Amino acid sequence: MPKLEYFVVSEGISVDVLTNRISLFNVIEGVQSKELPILLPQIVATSTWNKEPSDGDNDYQTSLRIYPPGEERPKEFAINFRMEQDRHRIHQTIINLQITQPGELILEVLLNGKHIASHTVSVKKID
Amino acid sequence: MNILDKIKSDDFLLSVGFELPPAALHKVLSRTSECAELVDAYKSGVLTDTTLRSFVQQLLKNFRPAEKFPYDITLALLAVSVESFSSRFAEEFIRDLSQLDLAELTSCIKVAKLCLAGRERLAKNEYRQFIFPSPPNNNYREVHRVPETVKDSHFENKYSDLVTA
Repeated sequence: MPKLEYFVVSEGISVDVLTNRISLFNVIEGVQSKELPILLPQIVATSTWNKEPSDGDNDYQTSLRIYPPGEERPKEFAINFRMEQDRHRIHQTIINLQITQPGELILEVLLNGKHIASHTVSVKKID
Repeated sequence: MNILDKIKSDDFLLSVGFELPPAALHKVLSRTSECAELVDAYKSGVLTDTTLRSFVQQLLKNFRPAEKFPYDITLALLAVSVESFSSRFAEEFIRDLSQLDLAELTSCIKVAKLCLAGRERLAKNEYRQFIFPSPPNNNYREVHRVPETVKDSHFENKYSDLVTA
């Protein structure tokens, strides 16, 4: 099974076309607003996986599961991939994520249905 | 003399010397000043994908069946120089070259195979976008993404100092 190197949620990313270097812009730790609901115009969840010797040509599925505060059912986005190279970066962009309540916005990454890591964003209502 | 003229000159080809095993040739080429110059020129945009494609096409006009290709080392150097780049040219050039089976181009094909193996170390990027429908504008408020820690008094003091300085 591929091994997770890191999982980070940011506002944007850039991958240099010549050097393949990645830059993550504005890692999202918390959001605040005077009124709710709020809208997150764009968030990018980046998970980077390292190949393990036994991975071969196996097909894997990674899912991004989002738990907005106050919502019972998470939103889930799955991608299938193969470890064709030693490292595989998956960038999942979510446009127009709506948040209706304060609390914790939890973004979780799973591999073949198994929890691997999560990133928590605090959502606060300010006066 | 520009770098592309330099790497097809007799002086350069002679400086690399006679045929070496592929791994040794890969190492020797990667240590040449011409390789460093090519990397710099490609990274800075002085050499573009179009320029390099056209250069390779020009070289291949000298290909004669059953004769050793005179720019075998030049192509090998080019493969070594673009090995760590994730550009389309680098990908296509190294992959296509490594898949050839021509006796006239033995050195560059073997070096390209090594470059291809080296490229496996580069990360692959995969992108997906999921779009929720836009809600009516007036229902949603501006979001402040400034973390709380940025608003603490320490930061404000430091910022004030900078402003008044």
